[in-house]
Amino acid sequence: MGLKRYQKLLILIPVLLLAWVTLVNTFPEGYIYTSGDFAQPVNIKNIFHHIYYTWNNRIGAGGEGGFFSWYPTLPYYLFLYLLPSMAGLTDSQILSFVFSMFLFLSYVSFFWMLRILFGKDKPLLQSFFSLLYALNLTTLYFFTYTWGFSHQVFLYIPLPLLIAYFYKYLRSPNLKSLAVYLILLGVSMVGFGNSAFFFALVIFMGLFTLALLLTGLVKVTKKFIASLLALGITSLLVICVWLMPTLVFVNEGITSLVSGVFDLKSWLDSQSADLLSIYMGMQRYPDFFPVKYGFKIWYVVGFLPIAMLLIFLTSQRKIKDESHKLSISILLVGVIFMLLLKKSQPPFGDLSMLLFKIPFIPALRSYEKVAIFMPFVFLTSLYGFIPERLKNSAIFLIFILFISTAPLPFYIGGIQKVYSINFAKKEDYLTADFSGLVKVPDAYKDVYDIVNSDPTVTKLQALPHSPLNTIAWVNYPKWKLIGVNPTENYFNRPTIAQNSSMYVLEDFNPTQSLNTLNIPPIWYVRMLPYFNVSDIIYHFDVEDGFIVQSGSKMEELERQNLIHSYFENDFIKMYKIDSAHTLPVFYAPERTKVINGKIAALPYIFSLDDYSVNQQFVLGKSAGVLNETDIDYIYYPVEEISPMDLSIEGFWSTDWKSPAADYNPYTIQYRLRVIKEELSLAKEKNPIRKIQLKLIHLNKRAYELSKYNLIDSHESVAAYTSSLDETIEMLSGIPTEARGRMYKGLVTTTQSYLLRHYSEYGTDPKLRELFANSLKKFQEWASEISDKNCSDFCYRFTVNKPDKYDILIDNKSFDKNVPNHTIDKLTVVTNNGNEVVRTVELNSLGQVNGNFIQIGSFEFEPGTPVRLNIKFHETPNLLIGEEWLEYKTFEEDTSGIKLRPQLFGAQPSKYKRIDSWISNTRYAVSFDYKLNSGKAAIALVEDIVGKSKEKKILDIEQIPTVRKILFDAVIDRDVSVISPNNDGWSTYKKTFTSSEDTVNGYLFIYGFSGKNNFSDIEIKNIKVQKVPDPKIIIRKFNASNQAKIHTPKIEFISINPTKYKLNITDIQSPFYLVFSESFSKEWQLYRHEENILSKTSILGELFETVGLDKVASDKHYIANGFSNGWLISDEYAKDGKLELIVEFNAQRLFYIGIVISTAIIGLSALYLIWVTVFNKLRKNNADKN
Amino acid sequence: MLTKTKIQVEKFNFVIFSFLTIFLIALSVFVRTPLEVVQLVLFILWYLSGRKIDSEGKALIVFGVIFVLFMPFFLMIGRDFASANFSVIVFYFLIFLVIERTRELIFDKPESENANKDK
Repeated sequence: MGLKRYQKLLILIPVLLLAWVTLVNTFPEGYIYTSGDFAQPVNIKNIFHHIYYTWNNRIGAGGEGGFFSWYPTLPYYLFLYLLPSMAGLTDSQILSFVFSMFLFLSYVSFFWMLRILFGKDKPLLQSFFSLLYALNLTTLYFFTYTWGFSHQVFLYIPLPLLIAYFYKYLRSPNLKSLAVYLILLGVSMVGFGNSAFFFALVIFMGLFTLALLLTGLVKVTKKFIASLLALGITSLLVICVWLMPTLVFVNEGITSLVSGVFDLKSWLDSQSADLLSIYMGMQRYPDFFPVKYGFKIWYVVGFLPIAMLLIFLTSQRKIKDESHKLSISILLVGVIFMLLLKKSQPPFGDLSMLLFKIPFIPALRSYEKVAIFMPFVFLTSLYGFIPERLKNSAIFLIFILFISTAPLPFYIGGIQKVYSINFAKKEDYLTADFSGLVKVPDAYKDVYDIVNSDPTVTKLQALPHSPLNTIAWVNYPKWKLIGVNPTENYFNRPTIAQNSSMYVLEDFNPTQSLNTLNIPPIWYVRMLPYFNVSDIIYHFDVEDGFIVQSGSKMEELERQNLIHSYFENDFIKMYKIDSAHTLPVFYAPERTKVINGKIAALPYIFSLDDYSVNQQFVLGKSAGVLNETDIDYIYYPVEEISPMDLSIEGFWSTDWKSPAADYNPYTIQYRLRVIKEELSLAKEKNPIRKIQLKLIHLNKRAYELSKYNLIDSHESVAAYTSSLDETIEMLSGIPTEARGRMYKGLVTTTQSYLLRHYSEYGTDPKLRELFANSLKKFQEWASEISDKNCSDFCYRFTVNKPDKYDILIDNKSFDKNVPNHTIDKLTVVTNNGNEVVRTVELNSLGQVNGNFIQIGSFEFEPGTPVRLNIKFHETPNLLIGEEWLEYKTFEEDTSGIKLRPQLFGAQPSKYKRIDSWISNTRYAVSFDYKLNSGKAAIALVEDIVGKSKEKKILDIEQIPTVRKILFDAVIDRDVSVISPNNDGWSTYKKTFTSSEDTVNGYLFIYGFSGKNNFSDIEIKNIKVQKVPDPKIIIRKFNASNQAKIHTPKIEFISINPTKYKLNITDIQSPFYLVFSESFSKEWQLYRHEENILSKTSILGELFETVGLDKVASDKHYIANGFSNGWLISDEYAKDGKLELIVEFNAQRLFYIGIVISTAIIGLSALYLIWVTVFNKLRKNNADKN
Repeated sequence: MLTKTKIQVEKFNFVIFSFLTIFLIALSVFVRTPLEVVQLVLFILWYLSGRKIDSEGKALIVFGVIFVLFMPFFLMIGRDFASANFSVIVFYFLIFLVIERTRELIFDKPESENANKDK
């Protein structure tokens, strides 16, 4: 009774609570939100129009530079970001606005849904209950994880209403329900920015319809089928604006949308959520409130809706009314969705994964796409089962309010300030290293006006390459930024990302290569014209190590006047690229080069003297369109296939670890484990992963032998040896042509594992012998598979045309001070090693060509593998000084006491510095030694420049391994190139590669001193030498192409990012047109008759190309490895002139889609208005009568 | 109609299977293995035994309450396997309830139900 009296007042409580939540979670002024894949769209007033260019959707996340395309989400950013911004709200106030709107609208949607589905007689209960939909652990997850402030999870808001009207229409098909449903679907389209949400919705609705049929709420009748058909067709029309452009992209690669271009299984594993997390509403409950913050018991509150659901489900004697049936229908879908969410998690993970074999289901591979439905499923079905006696109970209302406190941070404040996925417990947005809330430094703002007002800027290239996690993000530790770069929005020209690459599928990242390659950086500036870049924005706010890697190269480029700096502060330095190294976005190349092989060789090819700016380079696979006579050069970058050596890195590889769990081989658990191992091995289809799996099993067997001392167990020994035999068999089974770098790595890893078994598990003499024998066996096999004809530095390649080819070798392998250079001999071998074609004595080398030296020209037969062997002279010893210095951890001088880190425990050590230490370079360490007693070790120590500027131990190679082999007379069994001499001396030699961000290198020697014994080792001829790492390029000059192609003059204007108009004159012959945006078949050329550069009518622009002739669509190819190229015949020209419109087809479809979608939504709205007004009039008339 | 003795036996079975199911969750805390097949088989037995005596639905409520009471315990132990096993049982419980209720709808039809008709 009391409740009813105060109903109107009490109903406001949830609204007031939501207001409180907004108020208490106000975001700090001056801050914006960026976390992971979403960055707050700042400067939205100026960049809003970019949102609806479909083209940007193809490039936004890549390395090509562009704004994000969120064309279906336009209303979201219009109402939640643009309008508030125009109303004067600051960026942080907009965050609060988005936050509160999400919660309020979710609340309203759920409340309205309850009234539609369950009647309007319990407004108070419905109002309180709807609070649970707005405030729960899932919505808390949205706002403490990445997506809350983005359109990504928008579907959460309209979902209840959408399903309600869908149901209402199915139960009783009528135009009014359909009209409301269609409008709601139009609104929901905002959530289809990621297409998987659309698939999830369709699957949900499909299953829901089936469930309704099953529970008898709807029946298959002619009317039902006709209504369903009408609903399907009108739905498709409503979503046209999203669907039509999206279908184009689906057409380009349906697999990327519904099954993925990556390893689906490992992604599904990573996206699996355990059941507890699903009940709670987040992907991994330990990473979020409450467990992360120690409020473990608070889970009980979050779990209460599930518990209530279970209890109500059991307590209903009979399913009787419609609300029960509806709840059951929703739950049936919910259970299937739970299986899709848990994926590989128990129970029966592998079986659940079979669901992802069903077509289109893989679209639901990521967590949010399915999870977004779960609060609706649980809460709606729970509401349907609430017993009548509780519906009017004040205590029950209080209980619901209590449940709504499960996401406590909403009530106490601190969303993203204290509670965030970006930082650990006890940290906040001010103290953590990285934060979702960041403040863009004022220093940034100084550069915007300069760049935006400069008409010569085309695109900006951000540098340096500096990823700390994924290359899709940036990391600016100076202001805590991790994720998509929000500052790009302040520039009105596109910025090419510093970490990503347009050649990512070709395994080449130019910005990364700029950091790591030890060649003159000129190649990089020579490459930028093809990306249409005019300016470089160099960031100092990245981690220091990356500045070390790239800074000197920028200085060198500046010294050579290839780039000119024009702005600098503590955060940014701006460079203008020298005008000789820029190209417009459309150009007609006069030179053409073809690269047969990996595009990663481009830095070397662009270092050659044959470079000219006005050229194009085409990969061999795309070169079919080109006229053969137009090709100037063909390159064959070749790969080194030198014999395997055991490098130090391999030995102390980080992937080595003792097996995490072990079982005594005499137990049943062990037998079960072995069966499980066999099954997982049998299931693995990828041969490389199979070997990796087998190696893990091999380690386990070695560990078990040692731990349980099973050397006398015939069975256990056999298990180890047969594991090794099977590994060798698998390695042998890989065909020779597939044995690339990965294979070499696997062989090295196996060797190092076996050595590791010997050194770490060989505690018992018999066991040591077993491991030593295994090592020997493997080494023998490894030496057998090595190509006997491939000695020293060996390369292999095949040409596809008979001709004369130049062999070029980069000149960093040559020491200019040595008269006959450092190369001793180069041998060219063909016919599988039988026939030696030529051996070149390199006393007189060919001409120097850029950074390469031409060794000579050779005739090669097509299709026959050619092998090059290069033998180098010995390079100088890089150890500095005669004396070994003592490493002191404690030093005292006039400035006070200095403490240095202990490197090798308490062992005294001596060291020498290594001269000319260069990052990412191969070195060899070698010495002769005679170990008389004790243990000794050598170590390589590097100075690494990182955030903490601490020294890092690179690798430690322990001599005890070697010593033991010596005294056990198994010296010839060691894999580490030990060649014992008669006088007891042995030689030790290993290679290693320095780190990418190292500045100094040291070689340390230390001994182990025990209580009564000292190490006694004699070492002589100790050397650290640079290992030559020559790059070879085979080049063919096309003698038939003597002249440059005549290039016409191109004038163009940009209408928008998806449309350009070109006026081409002086066409005398067929020519190539290159457009420096990522290749897509959707880019089309249309021929126009009139002069089109002056035309400006906006409406005319939209459908201007309809009915125009397409030009050269069959001669469209990938130019410069990523962009659009057309070979255009001069027949298209009239008096040497050609007017072209270049348009991205999907954008046209977007315009058509807008017309259709708006028309349907508009008609629905008009119908609703008409019905409402008509009903009102009729009612008024009836009242009058 | 079951005889009184039979009901006693069924109740006994139900209690035993309930006990075993809960025991299994507790056990799995220590052995740290999901024991998926055992869980499922046991749960099916529990469900079938429960259904025979559960015309009033009271037994299921009791079990549901036990679950809820047990939950904080498992959560507080905070070991993933404990939580996982508890969650798995809840999952089975939910699935069986949904199946049971759907079965009722399909096979135990009330007198007349006019589908496709707005209420």
